[in-house]
Amino acid sequence: MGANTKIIEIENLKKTFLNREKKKPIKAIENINFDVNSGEFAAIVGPSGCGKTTLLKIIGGLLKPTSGSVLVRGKDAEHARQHREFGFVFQNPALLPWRTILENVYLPLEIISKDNKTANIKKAERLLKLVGLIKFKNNLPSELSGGMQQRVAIARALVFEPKFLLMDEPFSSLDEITRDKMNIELLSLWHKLKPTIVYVTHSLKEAVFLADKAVILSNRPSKVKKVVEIDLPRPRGQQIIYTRNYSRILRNIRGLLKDK
Amino acid sequence: MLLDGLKKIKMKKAIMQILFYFGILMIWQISSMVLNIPEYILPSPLEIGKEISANLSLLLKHASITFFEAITGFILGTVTAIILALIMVNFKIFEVLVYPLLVMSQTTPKIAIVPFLILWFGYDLLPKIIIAAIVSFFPILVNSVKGLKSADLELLDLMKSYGATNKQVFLKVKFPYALPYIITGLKIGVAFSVIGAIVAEFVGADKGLGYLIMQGNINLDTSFMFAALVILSLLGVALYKIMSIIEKKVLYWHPSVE
Repeated sequence: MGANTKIIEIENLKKTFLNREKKKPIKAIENINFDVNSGEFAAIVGPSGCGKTTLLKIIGGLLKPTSGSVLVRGKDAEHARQHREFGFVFQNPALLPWRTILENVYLPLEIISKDNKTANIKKAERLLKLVGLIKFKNNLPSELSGGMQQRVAIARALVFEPKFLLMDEPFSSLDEITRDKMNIELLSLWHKLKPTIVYVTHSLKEAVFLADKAVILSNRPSKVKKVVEIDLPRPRGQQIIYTRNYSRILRNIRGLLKDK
Repeated sequence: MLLDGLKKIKMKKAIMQILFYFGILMIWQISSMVLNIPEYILPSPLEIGKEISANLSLLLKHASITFFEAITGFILGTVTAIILALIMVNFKIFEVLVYPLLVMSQTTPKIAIVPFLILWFGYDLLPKIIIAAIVSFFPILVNSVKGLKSADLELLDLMKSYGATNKQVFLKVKFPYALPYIITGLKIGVAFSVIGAIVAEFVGADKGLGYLIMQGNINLDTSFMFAALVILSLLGVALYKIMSIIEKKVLYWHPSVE
């Protein structure tokens, strides 16, 4: 994989929903174009309700666009989804409450290759070690804190080694201290496993801290305001937010958001 | 230590319960003696107890018949309700067409159709079983339909991203999510099934606890009526308790289960 090969190409994407009474169409996404490179950490940033989640679901092949296209390695996103190339993490951990942590993590493997239980358990345990929750493998989700549950969701998303990790405000319901910690853990997981990440957030700070590239969206119907390359050094630790470069990039983006 | 504490709290609760009900029976017994209430109006607990022990084998024989009617009807109602719920959830058009009919069937008083059932199916157990099935059916259906629609939407998206088949989605996500609702339906349904059996026995039967109560009524044997009533309520409580035990086993993960 070359460092700068386009792996996801989004072209003239539009999405229109019919509202509840099915009378008038609502434009969720106006016209979106951007690319994601292989192995890149891309953040999609925009205000609440601007259609970020819709965009992520279209990228992941869960929703069809009204027009335009999402190509993953030159093929339709749905094709990539059918080949299980996407691991999803949503805002809500969406764990199965009756399954133990371990059973939750190997759920995708159980669906993909149900005959190989020992191997599945091994893979799940490896991921649980990576997210630091191996001690809790026999607990039920309700016995874990919100941050721990979200780590389980990440382990589950990565357990079948998808090429892409698609994350929809995964830490937005956590407290700030936990969120900072989770961001650093996410970066270290990314360094170890090297998936291409598309990360949706409404936090500019989070986007600048995490990503190589931030795609800034406007209010609904969303359009791309600007794609900003974030050339901060890696690996990044908490102290990076005190550097001048970090503030410069943040100020730059804030400025972009002001002059419509 | 903690477990010991929990056990103690449980023991305490049980003792409180026993004392409470014992107290009520004492008040009943004493006031019935002091106020000299005649037995044919309201027998005292002791008189009822004597009546039960004198007629125990008769009562149990008839209780077993009512139990059989109720439980068979309940199982019949459960199976139909769950199958129908599955069809309704998977074929929207079926829900639209059939739901009004089902609601209408529920607003008709069940007792009004017993004479028809007796006319069609005879005097024996079958009409009672059918009534028990009809009354337990509806709460199970309504709850199952709701439950089967209650799965987390994001989980369904996740299952799609794993490439899960419809069967896998059903078995691993939709059905377990529906279980708390289904079991609530079963708990209501099992209590209703006993009511259904008794009501049907009232209209026309030559056995069962409902029949015994009617017999006691004709003979103005109030103590005997009460004896049958006590056995009947014990039957209901036992069925409900069994459902609760099943609930705790199946829904070990659910917040409603301690």
